[in-house]
Amino acid sequence: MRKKAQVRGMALLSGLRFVEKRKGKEGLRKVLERLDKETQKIFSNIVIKEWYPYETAVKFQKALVEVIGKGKEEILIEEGKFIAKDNTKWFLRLFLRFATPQKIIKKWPVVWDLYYNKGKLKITTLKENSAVIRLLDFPELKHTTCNSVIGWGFYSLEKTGAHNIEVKETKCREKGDNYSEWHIKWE
Amino acid sequence: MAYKVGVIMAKKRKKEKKTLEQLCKKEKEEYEEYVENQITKILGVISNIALGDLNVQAEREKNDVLGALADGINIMIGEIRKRETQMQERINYSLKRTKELIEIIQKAAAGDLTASAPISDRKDEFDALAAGLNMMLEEMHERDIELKAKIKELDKARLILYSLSEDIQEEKESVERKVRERTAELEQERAKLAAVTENMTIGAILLDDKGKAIFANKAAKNILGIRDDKDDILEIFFIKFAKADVKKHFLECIQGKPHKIPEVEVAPGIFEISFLCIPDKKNHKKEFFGHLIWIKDITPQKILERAKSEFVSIASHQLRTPLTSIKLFLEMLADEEVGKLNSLQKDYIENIQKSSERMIKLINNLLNVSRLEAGTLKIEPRLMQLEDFVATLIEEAKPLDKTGKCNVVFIKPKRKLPKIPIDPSLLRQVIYNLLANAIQYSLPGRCNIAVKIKKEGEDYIISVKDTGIGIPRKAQPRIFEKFFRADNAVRLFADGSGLGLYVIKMIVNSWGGKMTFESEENKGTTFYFTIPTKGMKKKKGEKGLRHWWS
Repeated sequence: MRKKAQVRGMALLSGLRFVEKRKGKEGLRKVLERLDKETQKIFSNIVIKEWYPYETAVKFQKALVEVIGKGKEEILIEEGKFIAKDNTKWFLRLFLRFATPQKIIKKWPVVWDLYYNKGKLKITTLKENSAVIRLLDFPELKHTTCNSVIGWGFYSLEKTGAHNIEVKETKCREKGDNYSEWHIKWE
Repeated sequence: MAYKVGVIMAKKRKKEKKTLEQLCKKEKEEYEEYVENQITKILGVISNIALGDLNVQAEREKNDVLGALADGINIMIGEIRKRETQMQERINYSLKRTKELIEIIQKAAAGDLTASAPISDRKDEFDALAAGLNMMLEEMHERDIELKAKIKELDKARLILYSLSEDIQEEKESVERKVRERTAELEQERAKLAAVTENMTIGAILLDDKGKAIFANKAAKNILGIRDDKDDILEIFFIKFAKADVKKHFLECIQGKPHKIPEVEVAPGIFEISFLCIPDKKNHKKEFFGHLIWIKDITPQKILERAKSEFVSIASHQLRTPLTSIKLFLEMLADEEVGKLNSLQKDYIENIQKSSERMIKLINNLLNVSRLEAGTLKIEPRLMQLEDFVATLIEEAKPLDKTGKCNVVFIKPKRKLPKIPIDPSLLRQVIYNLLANAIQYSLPGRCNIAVKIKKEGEDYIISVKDTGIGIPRKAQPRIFEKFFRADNAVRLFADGSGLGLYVIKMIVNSWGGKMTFESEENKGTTFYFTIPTKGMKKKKGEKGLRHWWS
């Protein structure tokens, strides 16, 4: 039986906090109003450690793009950065102890598993100032998640002292590729 | 050759060394990667634990320090899970018990007070709470039953009250109508009363139970000369009638002792003052509702009485003078000083003498009454031995017993009495009169008279007891009235004037004594009169009394 994709409560909670921080309670209310009743019910009682259907995160990110990002998905990169920052206060600080870009990138696959129960993050290339990352075995993956992952990675690299960071999406599962792939550069 | 071998060996060794170094480097890199991967995995596990997810396990790859660390983490996860399970059980238990209690409370709130919370054998805080709740519910249930019973009673009472309310309303209207009618009547009565009190000639001062004057009518104000309502009525009253010692009588009246001053002459007239107590009939403590002072102007009455007495006195004197002459001439005729009389003439003369003596006696009595009523009788006491004097009087009265068959005894006190001031003329009048009556109203052969003196308190009591015809019960209340005679007395002795007892009672009263009697028809009568042990007080006045027999 095919495993159903799920996302951790902490990702959803940080997403809610991102909207509230940006647009206040009224903005959050507007985003949540865009969701169907069932999803709204899930968002009314999120628990950090629990797993929720992956669609929950996708629906929320789409509503976020519509209400806050005015249709532009770049807002999700900001969301990813916020989630990383929000979680730095929490478990992520354990990983940031290895304060070099290469070392933090090596930890990403483990961190991915903390957020999603599906998909394998693989580091195909890791050099002194660049890396190639692939996300495999996640056919339901939506592009909104990719943007959030980019934002997340951007922030974690910044925290290790890297600058002039560039992230380029070279493949996208939602667009028909077998996997999603990103080329990352930094100085 | 050796050199070549050496070189070859050296190269070989160098090569081997290099190979060994390469091997060591690779092994080191592999180990470092192993360590890093293992630590990353352990961090992942720790992150899950930090998130609260205990459904993870650290992988043990080698039997080294990192493997021991993974084991330690797994033991820790197991312990946390165990604790979490216990905690969850405890929470579930608490929730279950709380839910039970809430259900009971909800039932109670809905009105079902018969429910009770289950109590387990654990005897924990929930059981204590359940026991407390059950006690509270039992108490509430009992109260509820009582309350319902009371509500039932109240409902009954309400129904009764409701049914009564109409009756009450009718009754109220009826009472209000009666009150209006009664008020109108009272207004009329009050107006009448005001008209009466304001127009009556008797002065009235009404006092409250404390003796404060609360009303004085017009007559009272006129008598007291009050013009201003602010004047102190009582003070003016005390000053005006000071000579009659009214303040003393007023104070006694306040204490519940009524008093009457029969006559006090104060300008511009003569007044009779009465101090009356008005009892509060509704008060069981026998307190007074108030007091009343009557001031009656008796001036016209007194003037009339005096005029009458003067008339009687003058008339009596005028009658007595010719009667004295008649008496003398009759004595001369009877003694045949002016010629012999035949037997018929003697009889006539004797009859005329008796009639004239009766007229003299009557006139003397009338003169005495006149003096006594005018209050002008003088009292001239002198020191005397009372029992000796009474004995003398008894001897003097013996001739009154014409038959000589009356037995008169004198019972003296056991001890000799001291001399006291006595007016002999007045005392003689009283005792002589009583003895004359005793003899006169005794039937022949049954005439026993006893005179007795005894001391009682501040008085000497002198009694005259006879075995005569007695005073009928019906006549007893009037026996001291002027001109009154009982029927049996009239039948026995037709010539009496009815003034004797009236006169002697007034004489006794004049010296401050009291006179009473006991009598039974056909058995006899006893008259009692008193003389103060201190004797009689001297009183200035007109002449003494005339002896009715002289």
